[in-house]
Amino acid sequence: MGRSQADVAATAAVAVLGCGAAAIGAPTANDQGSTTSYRLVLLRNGHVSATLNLTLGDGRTWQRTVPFTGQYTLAAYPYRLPDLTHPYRYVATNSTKVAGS
Amino acid sequence: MTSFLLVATLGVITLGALFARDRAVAKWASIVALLSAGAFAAWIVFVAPSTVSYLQPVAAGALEALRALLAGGPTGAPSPTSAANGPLGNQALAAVAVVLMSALVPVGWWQVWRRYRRQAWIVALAIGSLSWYFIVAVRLFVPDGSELAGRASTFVFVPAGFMAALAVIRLTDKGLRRPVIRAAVRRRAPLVVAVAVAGVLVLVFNGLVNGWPPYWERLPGPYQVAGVERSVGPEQIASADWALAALGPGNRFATDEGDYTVLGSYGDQNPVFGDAFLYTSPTFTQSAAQQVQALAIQYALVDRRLSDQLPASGGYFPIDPNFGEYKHPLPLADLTKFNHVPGVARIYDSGNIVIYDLNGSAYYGS
Repeated sequence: MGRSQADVAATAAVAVLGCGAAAIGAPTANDQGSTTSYRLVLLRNGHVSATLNLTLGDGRTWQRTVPFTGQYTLAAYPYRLPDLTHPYRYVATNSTKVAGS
Repeated sequence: MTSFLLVATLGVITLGALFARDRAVAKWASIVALLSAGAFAAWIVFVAPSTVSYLQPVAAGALEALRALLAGGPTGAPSPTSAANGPLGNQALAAVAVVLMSALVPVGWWQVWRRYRRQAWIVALAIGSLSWYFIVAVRLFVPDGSELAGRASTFVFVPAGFMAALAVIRLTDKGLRRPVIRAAVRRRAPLVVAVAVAGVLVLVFNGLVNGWPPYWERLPGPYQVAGVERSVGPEQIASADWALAALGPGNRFATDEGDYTVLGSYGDQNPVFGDAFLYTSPTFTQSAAQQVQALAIQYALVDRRLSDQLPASGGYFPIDPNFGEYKHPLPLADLTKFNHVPGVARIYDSGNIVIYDLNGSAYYGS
């Protein structure tokens, strides 16, 4: 696992972790047993740095490694489409923790 | 507990045999009691010394409550409005059953004295039924007393139930025989039998409703905050699995009563006692930081449902200074403050459960 990057993944929850994995997902969709679409918005120091659209089947996971260098805060907001108003979950960490983990 | 009660039971049988002047029973019962006591003590000393520390808090709590009771102060038992007491129907049934049993047991003693005082086993049951009043006192005056009383009732109802049965037989018989006019007996019989059956049904249903586990712990049922088995669900297990997979085993976690056992078992983490302070203030404080450092807490698991429900067991945390005293769920701000503490990372979010990483945060002076 790289020490200067964060992994982002999709499971039944959303998570981000230093040198470990970060997970993003939708327990409700999975609990309902249906395929669900999400939009994952990544923010660095409060500014959108990446937007990813993904579709998860029941019980499926998704993971992506995100470059993570410098001194800033990284936050991940998954939205369950079509609702783009309210993030479904969110996690946040800072680069000090990632690099220092 | 069962070993201890075996020794106590054999002791009571010995006592009963002595009262009944049955030397044969007294002899073998006392010998077996001594052997059992020796084996029990040896097991505690050589095999399971941690039993003492396991039971010490319960015994200390009971003694403290007794001291408080004798001093006329607060006993620590849940207030009448505590969620731990259960629904009003349960409480009413428990009250009726306690009154009924407390009245029947002495009638049973009277029957033993009149008819069976030379029978060692029955005298022993009469002596053992004294424990009924002990568990009633425990339920009323000891913190978490409903659990102690509920667990003990498994054993206590053997002798107490026998005394109650003797009493019911006697009272029913007496009710049918007086007045001695036959026509009146015929008229009264259905009423007497109905009262007896109703009384017995109250005791039976009380055993189901107010025994152990309590209503809020029984499965199946919806999620309950601090509901032991009823606090375990897919979301708790998923968070514990994630903690083990992502963080590794043995991390020191602050958590609530419901998630405590799941994190420790499924997650192989090291949840700490005495962490209520971390969840009962709306903002970060230096005092909390000092306690976090003293307990070496690395992560805090927050279940936001603590702000939706009162704790079913009476306390939100394994050691809860406000046990039985909660009138409202925890304020949401107390649970979400971690989002605003400098350096705290929000590393996991499953909707109800959020895990925060406190390492390198303001809690550690960073």
